[in-house]
Amino acid sequence: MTGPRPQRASRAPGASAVDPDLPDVRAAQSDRAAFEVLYRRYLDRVYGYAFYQLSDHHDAEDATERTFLAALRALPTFRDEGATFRAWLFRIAHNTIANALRSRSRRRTEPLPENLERAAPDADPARLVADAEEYRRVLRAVAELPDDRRQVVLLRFVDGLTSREIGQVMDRSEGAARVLLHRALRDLAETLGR
Amino acid sequence: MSPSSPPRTTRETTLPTRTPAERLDAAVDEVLAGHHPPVSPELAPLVDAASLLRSALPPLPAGTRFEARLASRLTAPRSVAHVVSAVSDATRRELRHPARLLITGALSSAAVGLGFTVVAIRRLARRHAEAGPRPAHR
Repeated sequence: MTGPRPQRASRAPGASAVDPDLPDVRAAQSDRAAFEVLYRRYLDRVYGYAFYQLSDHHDAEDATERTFLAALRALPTFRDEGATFRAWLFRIAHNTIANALRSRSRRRTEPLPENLERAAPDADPARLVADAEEYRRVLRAVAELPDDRRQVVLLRFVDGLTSREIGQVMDRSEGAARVLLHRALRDLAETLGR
Repeated sequence: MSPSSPPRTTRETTLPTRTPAERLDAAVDEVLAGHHPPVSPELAPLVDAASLLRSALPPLPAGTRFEARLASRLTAPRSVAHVVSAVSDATRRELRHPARLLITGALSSAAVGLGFTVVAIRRLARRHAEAGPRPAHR
């Protein structure tokens, strides 16, 4: 098929008008201190995205810090041209985490509940996990997914991004992101015996 | 194309023929909103897995100390990160042009050499000035 891809067609100029972060982004572009609003809004989500992939509290903090510093530096270049701010931010996080994983000499460790408990020393563990056994099973299944499918699952379920935003983060079309999600859930359903 | 021509019918019929991936995506939206949507039997296990993921992958709050530390770095006027970034940008820019790097190196060496010479001359002049009041030896 040579026709325009649905994602391109739907990425109309008005598409980004629904970006709820845009007023705060504009404010932060003219006043650096206003970036704090966006930072507070997305800190936990970026941290969670990093932790679920890096499985280490310190590495996740490091990646989170790099992400926000890079975002603050690049904020003047952010344009309201299709991608939402959060897709833009998670793309920075995605690249930062990919670099962190690449530069790791040791093999990536599997995320485990004990790591989760260390994830936020001052957070309430009961709030983080309701059923440790099920959590372990699901995390193992997620960890066994191919990289791109795992990325889609984390971005969709941990960070709440839409398939369209996931496509923007991963440099794929919206349709391709949906297909990856479908395959990931099919794999997980088989692994978890659903 | 007139308004009464078939496209309207075509549009109506395309809705139910969404791909499984599209239908699953819509169902996941529902799951994330806290609902359990009715789906076709072939998608039911996948939606169950989505429900499980929603409850088993909680958001992970960052530590409050980390949050405060990073906030202060981000809001500080001209943070260290900016200085480091500016230096690294300048270095990268210089390294991109070997000729400029050579000139910069030569100028830096000359500046260091000149600095040493000035210091040596000043020390010598001071020593001469201190030796000035002594009576001449006959």
